Amino acid sequence: MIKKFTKLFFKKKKQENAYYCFTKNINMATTQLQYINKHVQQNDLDIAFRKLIDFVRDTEDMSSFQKIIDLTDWKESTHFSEKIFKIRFGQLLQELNGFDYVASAAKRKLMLEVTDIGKTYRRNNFSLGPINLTLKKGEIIGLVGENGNGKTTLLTILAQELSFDKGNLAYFFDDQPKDTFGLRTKLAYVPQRPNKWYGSLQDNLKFVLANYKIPPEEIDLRVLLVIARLGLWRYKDLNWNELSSGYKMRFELARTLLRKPEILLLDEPLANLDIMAQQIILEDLKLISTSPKNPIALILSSQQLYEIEKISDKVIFLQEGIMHNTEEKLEEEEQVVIELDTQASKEKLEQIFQDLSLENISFNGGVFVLYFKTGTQQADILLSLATHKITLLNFRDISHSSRRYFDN
Amino acid sequence: MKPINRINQFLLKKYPLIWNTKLVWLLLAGLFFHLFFFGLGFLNLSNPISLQKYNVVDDFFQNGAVLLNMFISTILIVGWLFFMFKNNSFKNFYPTSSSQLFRQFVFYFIIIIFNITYYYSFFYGMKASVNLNHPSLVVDTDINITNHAAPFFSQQLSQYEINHRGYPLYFNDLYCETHVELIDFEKPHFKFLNEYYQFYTLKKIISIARYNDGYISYDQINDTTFLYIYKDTVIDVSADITTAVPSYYNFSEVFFDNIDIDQYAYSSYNSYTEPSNYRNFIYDSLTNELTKFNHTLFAKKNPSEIKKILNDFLQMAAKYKIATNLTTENWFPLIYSDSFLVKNLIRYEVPKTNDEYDLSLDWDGKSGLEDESYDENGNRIKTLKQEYLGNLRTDFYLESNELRFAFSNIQKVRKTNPFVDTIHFFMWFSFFLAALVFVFRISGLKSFIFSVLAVGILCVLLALIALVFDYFSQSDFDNIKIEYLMVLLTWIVGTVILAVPIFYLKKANKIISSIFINISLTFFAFYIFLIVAMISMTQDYFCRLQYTTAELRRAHCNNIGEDIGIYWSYILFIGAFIFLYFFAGVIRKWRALPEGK
Repeated sequence: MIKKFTKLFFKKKKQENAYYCFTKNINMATTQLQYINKHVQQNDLDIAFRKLIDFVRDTEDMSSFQKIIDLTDWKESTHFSEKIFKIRFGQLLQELNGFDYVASAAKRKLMLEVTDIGKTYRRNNFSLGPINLTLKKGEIIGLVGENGNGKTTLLTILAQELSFDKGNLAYFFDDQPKDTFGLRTKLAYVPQRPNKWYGSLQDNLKFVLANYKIPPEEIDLRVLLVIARLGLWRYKDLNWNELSSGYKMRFELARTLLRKPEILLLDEPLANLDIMAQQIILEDLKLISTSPKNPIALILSSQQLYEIEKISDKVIFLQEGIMHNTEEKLEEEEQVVIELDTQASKEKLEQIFQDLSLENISFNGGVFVLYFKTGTQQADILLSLATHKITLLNFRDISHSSRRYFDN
Repeated sequence: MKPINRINQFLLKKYPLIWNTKLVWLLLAGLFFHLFFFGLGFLNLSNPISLQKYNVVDDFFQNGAVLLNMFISTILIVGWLFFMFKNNSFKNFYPTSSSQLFRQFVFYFIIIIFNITYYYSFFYGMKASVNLNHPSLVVDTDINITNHAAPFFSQQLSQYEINHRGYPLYFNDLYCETHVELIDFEKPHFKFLNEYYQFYTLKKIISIARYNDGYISYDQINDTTFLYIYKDTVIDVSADITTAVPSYYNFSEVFFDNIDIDQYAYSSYNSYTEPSNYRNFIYDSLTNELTKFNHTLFAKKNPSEIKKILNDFLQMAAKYKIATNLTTENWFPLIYSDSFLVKNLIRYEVPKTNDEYDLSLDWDGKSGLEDESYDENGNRIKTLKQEYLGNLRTDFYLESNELRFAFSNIQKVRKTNPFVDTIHFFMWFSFFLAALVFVFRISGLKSFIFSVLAVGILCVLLALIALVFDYFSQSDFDNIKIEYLMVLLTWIVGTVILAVPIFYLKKANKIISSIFINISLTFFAFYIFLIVAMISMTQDYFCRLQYTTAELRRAHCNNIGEDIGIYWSYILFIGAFIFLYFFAGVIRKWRALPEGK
């Protein structure tokens, strides 16, 4: 009797669990779709479309892959009209409504632990480290610093491309690799200047998947999906030499994403990109790395401080090889720091901020950086500027930005 | 292009390694060119005239086909590398197992060896042509017809001299002395023009000594025993030989012996014997059968039977497009007489207008009395023989040597195995080329160049050391020691090179360890070869101490190098592949190493 009861209890518990999982997943998928729908209603078709592709990618359903590819093909064709696109988009959303997927339980799982890593180049007397950091799935770390301060060195050490002298590196992949070559297959590192691709771009992408033993019938769809996702549809039949450097980076990113990386290391992905392209690729990186199904632990280096700060969970500032964790440091800092671009002279600025306890002012030839005492209100600063009719080209509060470290 | 694209896409998605190495296309291209060369080989011998030259088995190397092969192979291999180098999964750290790496090398090897060995197809094309146009049974019949007609060719007067007599069969066991200073004029002898002939019985002595004087022939019975044959006593053969004038009765040659495919046109020269004076070693049952047949035929004096032989031969020769102006009608009167003496000579080739060399004028003076001499004005004085020859010569010709070439070529092409001598070259050439491509693919251009430089520097250093040792050497024995020392030194260097990637991979700088890896995988077979050489040299050394004479050493000294001989090539080859299979794991480990140590 007890045995029967126990059996029944566990069976019921199992069903409840199953139901719980199902509803939770439905909720997850539904929430995603609702977000997408909202974008459509607000006429933000581009971001909606990119998010829809991410959603489809997470479903792993090949028929949905085919549908979104067909839609992309039509979207990129000469027959495109926004009105029809909206209708077709809506239809596809409807069809996808019933889908669910299991969100990764591993989101925020620790992927990389760097302990006291250090490297010294005796030739130019440069030392990196000690570096300490942890990286979790779905987390983005921005690596900033001036040229020659060790960003690429750190990234290549993390990618196992470069040896280090001291410290410890630990990786925590879902499937731990059996040997060092296995580890290298899992570490996705994209250098600032990707190597040239030879032959057809699509064949290069298919070659990746074939090597990763993806079923042949899925390869075309997966390749076209990533091409569609990264906005490369119009360029997919070109040669490497015909691509601009921005698109080369995107194709390299496509190749890397096809490897389903758990850790992604990008060195200066924004270099050579125009401002719009920078924003799009950062947005894409954010969306892709925080995917509910396949989150990626991402470290990217860049000179574009504000853009990086916008998407990063953490920003690491490297100065002469020494790491400054901005979060920690900023908590200690109390000053209000303003970056100002104006035609006014330094003397004029000193004069107008006399009453606002200006502690320091620096000018690098382009912009001023003004240091005020703690507690100074941004509104007061703006009011002073307005009162004195100072024309502003740019005004930015960099109190919490790593930008301030670039100011000597 | 669509089917090609479809196949390419199929391979790319399902078999990326095959797609990347272009195996299918290179094998297809190779197959096409193999068929092409098969056709060339077939056509090369489709015209019987093409058989009428020396050694057509070497045609591939003489008619430009080898250049064509080299040209096509180079184009194919360069093109292949160009396309293959476009993608490299190993370099990009896509998952690559050790066995995939090994397979990659095997594919390179297969592609290279398949695309450089058109020689074999050419040869099998020739074989097919010969087998189709000249079936074995037909050729055997043709050779038989020729051998029966050969006495009537009447081309080389010396073949009809009495020292060539082979029937009755006891003549095979006699020696005919022709040097005038060795003729015993007191005893029965023959004279024709300025030539003298005297027949001797033979004495055979078995001896272990290698060098003896005065023998007319010798044969090695085993490692240490020799059979020496000496002249014994003069014998009177006048019962069987009534005249010293050259006659058809004396002809005892086999025009073409089917068994011996190495015979060639002008003579079956044997360095141990004087075949024209003593025939025991080289004349076999076929000769005896033919001479007996001839004697029986002459005895019958049946014109129609002889005409049939001539007719059959001419019909057969026409099939091989042998040039001649003979017909049964004009040939028969030239050779037929009651005495069967040689009264007319037929030329080897079309009569020439100028005084070019003609084989049919060859008639070696044996007595020493027929040497060339000149008058006061420097003009050649015709010898008695030349006078005689001049009187017998006609303007009829028969290119019999070309027929012998044809038979010889047919048999050679049929019986030669083209793989025997050449496979080792192709095997090792392909292996080293595949190894170079593999090295370039796994380690990149920089390591490749450094490895080539390192090998060059090592060779120069070892050669310099050898030169220094050689400079101080005093004796042959010193030389042997130097040889051994150099092999040992090279082996030690090899061991160090091999040990670094296997045991100290992580400690060495990545580029330096790549050099050791590259040399190891390319020259592992050579490393094993050095071990074999050292063992063989040691065996020789101790054997030399044990056995003092060269003959004893020849009989008793063995070494593993010579015992296994050419089969070492296969053993080392297989060994190199097995090594590579296991070494692929080391290559993977090396690739994963970070740089900058």
